[in-house]
Amino acid sequence: MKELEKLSCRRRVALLCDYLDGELPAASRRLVAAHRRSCLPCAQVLASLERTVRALKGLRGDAKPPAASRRTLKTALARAARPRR
Amino acid sequence: MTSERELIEKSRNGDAEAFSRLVSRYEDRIYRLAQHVCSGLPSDADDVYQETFLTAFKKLKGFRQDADLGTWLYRIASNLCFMRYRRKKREPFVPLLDRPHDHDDERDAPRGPQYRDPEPTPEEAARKSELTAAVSDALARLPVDYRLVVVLRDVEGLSAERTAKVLKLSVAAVKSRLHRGRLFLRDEFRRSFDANPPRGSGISKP
Repeated sequence: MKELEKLSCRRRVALLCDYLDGELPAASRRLVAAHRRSCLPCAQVLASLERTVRALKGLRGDAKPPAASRRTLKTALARAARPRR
Repeated sequence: MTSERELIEKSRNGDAEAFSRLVSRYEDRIYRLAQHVCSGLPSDADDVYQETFLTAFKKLKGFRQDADLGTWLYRIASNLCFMRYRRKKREPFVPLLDRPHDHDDERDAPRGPQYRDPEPTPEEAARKSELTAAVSDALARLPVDYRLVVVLRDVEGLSAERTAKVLKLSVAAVKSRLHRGRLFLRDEFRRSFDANPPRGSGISKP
């Protein structure tokens, strides 16, 4: 892909990130998508990175701080507020 | 519903009740960040969660009204995670270098559905939790400088610009660390799944 080869390493990384994150402008996205269809090694790298990102997004589930920890924080906040009143 | 601005104003004047309402708006996000960045050290996640809000309450006078509270809280929490990690592990900054050519892997798994939710069977739920544990383990092996970027971007879903503000990095540096972090994790996932292949076919390895 000649257009990609012309880019510096830093810009190529930014382009790849933006592609994976769906943040590339339509024209550049089409360019990468076309290259992906014709280059198996690139297609494999992109597919493996897409799966990695999906696996990480799988960690987004609910996270609640434990009740004991919330109580401790509440007590600490009340203590911190007292001298200021 | 009281606006965030009003709650901040009351909290600045030492109103712990008003601040508790701000805490309840942000605590899940901050706790999740602490959990994934301080993974393997559960008491540290609790400590970071508490310290983040206590520090914010004490320093709220210095918080700019036009700034974003969430970004500011993420920054405090990220700094706390980072400092604890450096202190405990004495972990130096380890630059993850790009390999000369990243096309050399023929063992790539075929593409497949990641999860077949929303109604997973018990078996699928078990496999999903296996995958979640494997992802958390791999994250724990990623150097903390990269882990912070990956968790803020891919787990918390912050934009590159907001992540850069939280970590006081350039957007280019965020993208560079994100890319290297993702490559590292991809290889870690493969290693761990090659050693312990997941049972069944509901979930493909990353």
